[in-house]
Amino acid sequence: MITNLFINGLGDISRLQNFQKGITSIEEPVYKDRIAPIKLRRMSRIMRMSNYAALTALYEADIEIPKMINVATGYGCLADTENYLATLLEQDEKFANPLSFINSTHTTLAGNLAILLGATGENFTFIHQSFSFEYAMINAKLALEEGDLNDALVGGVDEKITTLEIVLKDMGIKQVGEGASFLSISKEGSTKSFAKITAIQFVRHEKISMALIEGFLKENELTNKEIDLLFTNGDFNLSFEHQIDYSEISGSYPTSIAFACAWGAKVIRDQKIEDVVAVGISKFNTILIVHEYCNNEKSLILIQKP
Amino acid sequence: MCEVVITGIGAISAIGNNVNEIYTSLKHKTHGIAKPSILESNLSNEFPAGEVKLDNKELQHFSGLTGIHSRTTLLAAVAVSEALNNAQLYDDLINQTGLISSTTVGGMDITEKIYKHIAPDQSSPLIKVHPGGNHSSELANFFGLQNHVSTISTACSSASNALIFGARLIKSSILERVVVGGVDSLSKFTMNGFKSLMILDEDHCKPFDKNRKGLNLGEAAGYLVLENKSSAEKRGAKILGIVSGYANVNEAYHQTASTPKGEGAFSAMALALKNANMTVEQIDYINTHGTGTLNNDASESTAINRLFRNTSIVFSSTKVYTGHTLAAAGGLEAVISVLCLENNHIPEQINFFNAIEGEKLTPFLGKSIKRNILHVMSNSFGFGGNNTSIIFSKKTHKA
Repeated sequence: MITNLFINGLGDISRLQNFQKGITSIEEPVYKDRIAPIKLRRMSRIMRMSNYAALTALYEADIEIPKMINVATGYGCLADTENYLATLLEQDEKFANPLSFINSTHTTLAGNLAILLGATGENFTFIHQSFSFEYAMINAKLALEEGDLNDALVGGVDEKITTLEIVLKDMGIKQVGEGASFLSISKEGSTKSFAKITAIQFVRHEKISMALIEGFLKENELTNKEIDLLFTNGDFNLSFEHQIDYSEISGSYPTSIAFACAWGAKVIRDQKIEDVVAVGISKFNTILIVHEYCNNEKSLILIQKP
Repeated sequence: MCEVVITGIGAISAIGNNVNEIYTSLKHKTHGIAKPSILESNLSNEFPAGEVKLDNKELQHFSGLTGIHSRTTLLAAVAVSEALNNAQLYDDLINQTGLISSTTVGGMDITEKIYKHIAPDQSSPLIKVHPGGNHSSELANFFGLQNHVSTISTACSSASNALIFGARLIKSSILERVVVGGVDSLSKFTMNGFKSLMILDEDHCKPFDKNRKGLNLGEAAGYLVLENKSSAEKRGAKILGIVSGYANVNEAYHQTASTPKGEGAFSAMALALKNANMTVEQIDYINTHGTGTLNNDASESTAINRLFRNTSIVFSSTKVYTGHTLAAAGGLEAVISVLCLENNHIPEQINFFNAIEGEKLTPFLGKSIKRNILHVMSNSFGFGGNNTSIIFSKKTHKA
């Protein structure tokens, strides 16, 4: 699906910065730099990460109030969900914490951003596991066209809790990751635009193969040689000269493709990549991302220099 | 841009296991609010709710699903199956059809039963049904819906927003047809959550009544088949209604409460009219959000008065029959809106005694209005100020 959405700002809370220092947890920012302490007190950790990353993307894009907000989360607010549920069960339904309950809802992510920003436009939260971010992006594109609007805020957020690690270990996922990555996007490009999401494709029933990738590139009038860098989150046995397994940095989580998008856009903007993953090239115009989570739903995203 | 039509509906709720039963209950003013007998919760003795009268075994049998599924998936399977049959979609057509579903609880009914058995060295295979998107994938696999599959969760406006996204996928020719809607099953989790917010009525809820005390929760699934008009006509499908307009806004005000002036409700309704290119005079009936809470009904009334001034707009809340079915509400009430258009029947407000002071708004009490219902507005407002309004129209009458 051709998307042609321009990226004008990004905010990313991930392991990328810490990874350089050899630390395996995400680097949490000084939240109060962007969010008033009185507001921070009522925010759970995932909300802080989500809000901070979103505010950073908007700040970079010089957007005060986005026309719409589309947030993606595979698992939602797990810490609050568990906190609320565990108390409820321990107390045999005699006590339930209303704040934990409110904060456990998926909609609280996009909703909280609306309150924080005074953003009265469309406000969707997509929760379709590994396809959440892709659909948040597609809805943004369709809504911008339909409403004759120009900009939207789109992000992917997931948080890690111990119980999730226990559960996922059973399903074969060892490196459980987390993060919040937001993009301020627009339909029309401007001098602020430093990258462009050219196309998104879902792959449901086929295996990822060179033939499939080549078909996708052909639809976008590209050849393998024009892909400067391939980002994958697993071994798909694809013969591209320069590739990086981004899950080694982000860990595995349903919306880690949002991290890959933000990172890819940043690499294209800065025309350089972090030393720890030096790939020996200095030109970054086109990056292809291949994403798969829990062996089922796969997607491809193409990011280019505008 | 192409027109989006409705060619199939399916639903299950406390007032019926299919669309016909639901219509019969509405017509005979039979509500489904009672103390739950299937939900295992201490609150089942305290608070009435709109519970579907089939247990999981019966739902499983009814739906044809095998293996272990959450009640959420089972309810959805029953309604999606009915919607697909109603639209007469089989085999190849189903393969090309998409699914945009929605939920708030997902597999929570299972999670709350197995959670205490999870230990550092012990997981449970059943936990895989927990994530909200799981039911959509299960449904897509079961029915063979091979095209776009996604899930939205925006609290009580979830299914309405799934409908908006689905309609956009058709308008942009990404899909020819798509199943849209939502589902939520009752759970300890939500019953206790709403109790902790102190907005549950211990008796049968009284939407728009001066002395209303809160809402009754409910469980349901409501799904519609949306289709590109020309595709529907080409295959000779019966067109049940048209999606004429919609809007979603955020109040950006409070995590759980609405503004006293109903700003979000007002702009959702106003923008939906604008999107449909219609005026307030054209709306024959509003199926309101009308939960029965002090806050919602007051602000929704204010918003209706502000927007529909001088018109004697006909409205009611069907949550008095079904309970507030959260993510499913927008789907179930979209099905009810289509039934209004098909049968020229407006669901009457029951359990109503006195109008809210100052608002002077009386919901529809059955003083016979004999007329052709052309346009129905359906409101769904959620947590986090998420407000959606959708306008459904009769086939022959597009503004």
